[in-house]
This record gives sequence, C-alpha cells and structure tokens, in this order.
Amino acid sequence: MNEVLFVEFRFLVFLAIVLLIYWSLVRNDHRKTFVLVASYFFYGCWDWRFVAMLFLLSCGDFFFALRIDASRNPVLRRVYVAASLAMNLGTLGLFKYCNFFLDSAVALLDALGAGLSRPALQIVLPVGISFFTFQSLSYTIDVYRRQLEPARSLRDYLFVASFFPQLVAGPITRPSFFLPQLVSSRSLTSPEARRFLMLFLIGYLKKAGIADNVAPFVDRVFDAPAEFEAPSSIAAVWLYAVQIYCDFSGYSDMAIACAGLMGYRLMWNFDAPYLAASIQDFWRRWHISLSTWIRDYIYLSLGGRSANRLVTYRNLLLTMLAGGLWHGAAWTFVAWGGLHGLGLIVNRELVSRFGLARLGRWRGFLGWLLTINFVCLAWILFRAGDFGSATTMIGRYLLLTPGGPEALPNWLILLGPGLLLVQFAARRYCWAQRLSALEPRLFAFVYGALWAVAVALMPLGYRPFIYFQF
Amino acid sequence: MLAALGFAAAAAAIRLLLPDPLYLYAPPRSEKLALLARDREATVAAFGTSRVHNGFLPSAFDTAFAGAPYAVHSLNLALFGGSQTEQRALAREFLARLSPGGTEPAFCIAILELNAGLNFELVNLFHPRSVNLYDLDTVLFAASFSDASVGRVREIARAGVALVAGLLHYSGLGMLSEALFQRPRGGGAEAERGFVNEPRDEAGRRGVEAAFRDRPQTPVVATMSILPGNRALVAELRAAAARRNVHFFYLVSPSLDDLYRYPEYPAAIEVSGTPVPILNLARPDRYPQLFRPELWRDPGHLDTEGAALFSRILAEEVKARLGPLPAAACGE
Repeated sequence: MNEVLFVEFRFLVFLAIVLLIYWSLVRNDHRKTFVLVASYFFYGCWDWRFVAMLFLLSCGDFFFALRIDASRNPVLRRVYVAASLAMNLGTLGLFKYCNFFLDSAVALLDALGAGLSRPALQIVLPVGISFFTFQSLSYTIDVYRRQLEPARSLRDYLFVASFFPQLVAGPITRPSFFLPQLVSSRSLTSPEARRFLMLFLIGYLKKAGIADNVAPFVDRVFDAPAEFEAPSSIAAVWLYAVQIYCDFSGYSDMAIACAGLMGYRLMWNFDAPYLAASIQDFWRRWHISLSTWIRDYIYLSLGGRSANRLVTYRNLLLTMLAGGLWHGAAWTFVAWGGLHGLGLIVNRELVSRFGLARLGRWRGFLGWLLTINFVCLAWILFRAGDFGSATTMIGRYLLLTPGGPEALPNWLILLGPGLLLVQFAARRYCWAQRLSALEPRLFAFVYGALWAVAVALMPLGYRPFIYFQF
Repeated sequence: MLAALGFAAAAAAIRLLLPDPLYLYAPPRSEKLALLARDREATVAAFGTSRVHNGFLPSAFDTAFAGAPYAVHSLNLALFGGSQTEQRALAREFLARLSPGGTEPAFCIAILELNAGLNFELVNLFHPRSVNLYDLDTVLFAASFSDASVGRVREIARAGVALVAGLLHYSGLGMLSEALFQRPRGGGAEAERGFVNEPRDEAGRRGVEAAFRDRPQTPVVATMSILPGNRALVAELRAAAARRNVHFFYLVSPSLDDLYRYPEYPAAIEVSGTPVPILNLARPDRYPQLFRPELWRDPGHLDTEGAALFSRILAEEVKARLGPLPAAACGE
C-alpha cells in the first residue's frame, strides 16, 4: 500500500473507519491518541521509512519549543530557535535541495572550465516534507516570538505535526491555530456535517472530475511544445491553470473537509484566485496558508515594508524567490517566484505612481484580465521542464509563433473560461451553501446523485496530486 | 438509503445518455475494435489472450490457405491480459459485422481460445477494459464458467469478481470522463492486422532457457473438463452471427508450462448438435516443432518466428477440420 490519495476508494474506506471509531470514542484523550495513530499509519502507507523521521523532527521541535519558552536568556533562546531552524531546514535541504544545489554548482564550475563530474546521490523525497517542516518551523518561531505558548503534551504536538488530512499537502496549518482546538472535545452539528460532506465532494470533483481529465492534454502539449499550433498551446496553458488550481484546491477542500468531519478547523487555502483583480489580490487568494507563511516568516523577518521603497522591493523579491524555490528544486520554479515578485513590484509601482482610479469601473475588469494572463504566463515556467520548452510556450502564448501541425480538440480552449464562469456563478449565487442547507433527506438524495456524476467523471488511472512533490 | 437512491438514479441517467460503453476508450481493446471497424474484408479472426495476441500472425495464416477455393483474410483480435468475457465481446462484434464482401464467397472462421482465463485480475478491476464490459449479460456469462469441477472457492471468487465488476459498470465509473475527454488513441495494431510482438529481452531469454533446461523427461498429462460457459459461448456467438456457416474452433494455446504439464481435451465438443473442434496445440508430444527455445520470447509467449510457425500449424489444423474443400462458404 502506497500513495494513498484522497480520491481513492481505499482512502474513503480509511476515512470512514477513522470517523466511525473517532466519534464512538467519548474522551478527548482517547480521540487524540487514536487520530495520532491513524495519522502515522497514513504516513507509513506512503513510505514507512520516513515515519521515524517525522517523529524525530516533531520531538525535536517539541523539545526546542519548551526550552525556548523556559529560558530567560536571549542568547540561549536564539540558540534553540536556530537549532530548530537548522534541523528543519537541514532536513528539507538534504532531501529536497541537495541534488539541485550539487547540480547547479557542478554546472557553474563546468561553465568555468573545471570539468567536474557530479556525484551520484540517490535521495528519495519524503512526501509532504515541505509542508510539515514549514509547519514545525512556524511553531518554534511563534514560541520564540512569544506569540504562542508551547504545547505541554508531547502527544498533542505530535498530533498537530502529523494530522493526516493536512500532512502531505497542507494547508500549512500553524500550531498557533491548531493547538487550541485540542483542549476540548470537538463536536459536529448536522448542518456542519453536511457542509463538510459537500466540501469533500466539491474537492473530489475538482481533482478527479476536472484536474485529472485535463492533465493528459496538458501533458501532450508541454511534452512536445514544438509539435503544437499556437491556439492549442494557449489552450494547454489555460488548461494547466485549471489543472493546478483544481488539483491543489481540490486537495485542500478535501483536507479541510476531513478535518471538519472530526470537528477540527484547518486554514482556508483558496479563495477563487483566478477572479483576482491584481497580483497582490491573487496572492491573497492562492495557497493562502503558504503566502501568509512566507509573509510572516520571510518577508517580515527581512524587514517587511520599509520607508525605502527599494528595500521593500528587495524584500518582496527575495520572499517570492524563496516561495518559488519552496515549490520545487529547479531554476524554473525560482524564475516563477521571481516573475511573481516582479509582478508584485510593478503592481505596487503602478498603483502608487499613477493611481488607477481614473479607469473607473473598467479598473476591475482590466486588472482581472492582466492578472489572469500574467498568472497563466507564469504557470508556463512552473509547468515546463526546462527553460527551452518554457521559451517556446511563452512565444506561442504572447506572439502566437507558429508551431507544428498537432492540435487539441477545439472545445477544450473554452473549458478554462467556462469553468471560470461556473466558479463566478457558484460564488455569486452560493451554490455550495444552498446545497448544504437543503432539508436533510433531500440533501442525501442530491448528494448521492452528485457522487454518481463524480464517479462517472473520474478518469480510470489515478494521477498523484501535483503538490505532493513540493 | 436516500443517498444510494440518488446515486442510482443519476448513474442510470448518465448511463442512458452514453454511447455503448464497449466503445469507450479501453486500450488495447479500443485499438482492436477500431481495426475491426476499418478492416471490412476480414472473415476470419482469432480471439483470446496474449498467447494468441503474440502468436497469431494473420499473414502466415492466410498464406497457408493459398490455393483454397475461397479467399482468407484474417485478423488478430486477441488481447494481452484478455479473458473469456473480453473474447466474447470482441467475437460478438466481429460476427455481427461479418460481411464476406462483394460476391466472392469466403470462409468465415472464429478461433476462440479455450484456455483463456475468465475474469480480469483484481488489480485490473478498475480498468476501463473491465468496467466498460461487465453489463448484466456479461456477469451472467461469467457465472456459466463455474460448476462443481472448478471448486467452491473458485466458483465464489469468479462470481464475486464478476459481480463487483458489474457494480462498477452500472455505477458508470469513469464513463463520462471518457465520453467527454476522449484520449488520443494509440496505434500499432494495424501493421500486422492486429498482431503485435515485442522484442526479446534478457529476462525472457533466461526464462526460456530455464524452462527447457529443467523440463522433465515425461510431462504430466492433465485431463481438462469443458465448462458450461465454453459451450454457451459458441451457442451464443452462432446465434449472433450475421452470416450462416460460420466455422467455430476452440484453440488451446501453448506455453512452456506445457513442457511440464500439458492439457488433454476431447477432439471436439458438441454445441447444439454441431461439433466444435478443439485444436490443442499445447501438446509438446504432437507439435515438437513448436517447442524449440529459439521460437519463444518468454515462457508464455512465442516470438515472431514462432508466431509464424504456430499460425501455419493452426491453419493446417483448421483446413483438416473443414474437410474436403470447398467447405461451405459463409452466407450460403
């Protein structure tokens, strides 16, 4: 048993068993212990070799947080928080970035004529490492900043650090948000249960019904961009925007729903990002748990907003470059982060220098049009395997440069805009809320019918969630 | 309960809106069905599993019929990982579309694999080849492959797998996805009219060497029984054929396991008063020329040279069973 995906039947069985046992336990202590065991079992199903690593990292941060809190000596406190940083970032660096930095160093030395050969290191990337190390880091940093009381119970902290709904792909739920929820027994009302059941289904539909269906078309174009004509290349970029949003926000919805069905709240992660009216707005709506994390722990640590505009922009750019690197150990991800950093700077400059009020009611529409196209353009860097194919795709997207004779089905080009309209309408008319608010018997019937649609839309052949690799 | 009702109602509605699920994408069956749709001249086809998929070379089979009074144009409609249920589905499509073409009389021959398995393996239950196939008719057909001779456990397992597959079929699993987002079809089935063989690899070569090296002096002879489903299949296909005088044959395909234990079948079975010959080529004692290491890609499959020889032998056996030529042409 490995790669237990939320859209798989065996996960649904696992979740059903967990919920059944969880709600049959009366004492909060028993529930927490049970969920902790279930979480480690879940992670062990992915790769049992890394269970010990997760446990040791969590124990380390638990210990460091206690020491930081207990110590009155500022130097000692700094030593402990530095040790936690080193432990988490060292683990992340070793597993995720070691090969990347080695490759880059060897390539640089090669370019300088050193002619080195790269040492062959076979390093397996533990799933979700970027998520749980960032979560742990926020814990010790918050304790260091005296914004959070450390957990006194090792079991409680292990619970938070390994909670299975958000363990492998977030949302990055900070212990400061989660730990207080462990104090008392959780409860779940019937309307809440319906809301989370609906959220789980929506997430499932996004992932299995949309993202996994468009993925083969995206792959075809990005794997051989030279062979496709410009409209198909544009369609592929839009479809990738659809895929990555539905993939990741679908996972987040399911994670939030799983936690919600146990009475716990996770951080909201997406808020219709493709309806954003500016790049700044986009980052308030996309992967909210990460964007607020890098804002609070990188941007603000660098000094945040400064009286000196250049310093502010430097901080912004460095933050976004780090955010890009967090997503993947490749220069294309760094470039993606850098491009968004530049986008944020240009956005700020435009607003502060010219003000955009004179555009009147067109401001919102123009802002949205520019933002969505900028975001799509940047997705090319995110998706392309190398700068060569990224350049080809960017050329097709911006300049409609001619390509090969291959083409995607015409209707697919309308899928992205069509889904955007659906999302717009769903938000405006509160579809999900209305469905959740149905009378329980009618809800059950409609819910079952929607599952039939979801099942029929599921392509046979699972594709892992994109964000598991980060 | 209401949720299950909602699910069933919506699944039924979706199922009604969809085209024949057999024609939804399920590689490599889709490729063979596409080949069948394009090649309207074919009046002969072999069905079954990878042993036939890699072993039946249409050009070699047709050549062996040179000089016969009627033209022979054959197709390989067998599938790797194939089963009795899938063989039945393809044979039904082949026979329903059978058209001897023009005014020329032709042989119409369906070669079915007797020793094909029944269901898919559990791991393939969620594959469209399984999901799109198992309608109620197929589930009932699968049930006809169980009797006391297969043992109670196997009987339950066979029926259980078929029932689960049927449940997945009527839930419409993945069908809307395939109908809306049609994947690009793979090629490769056309070059040799459905015959595909892969190059030898090291593991296969070692397996073949070991099979010949360790073979016993005298293989065990296993007397096999004919299941009700074997008869039911031919009876059903005969009724479904668009032409009269279709000749049905059961083939027992060989593998190197036969060096250790080979099956013994009757020469023919009676189906509605008409004999259906069983061509048992899994007999090293009768066909030693087939059991030479250089003809095998791996212990389960012939290589291209082996396939050519196998197809010629098969053609000769078919000719011998057809009796003095000209035998009845189909449609006559």
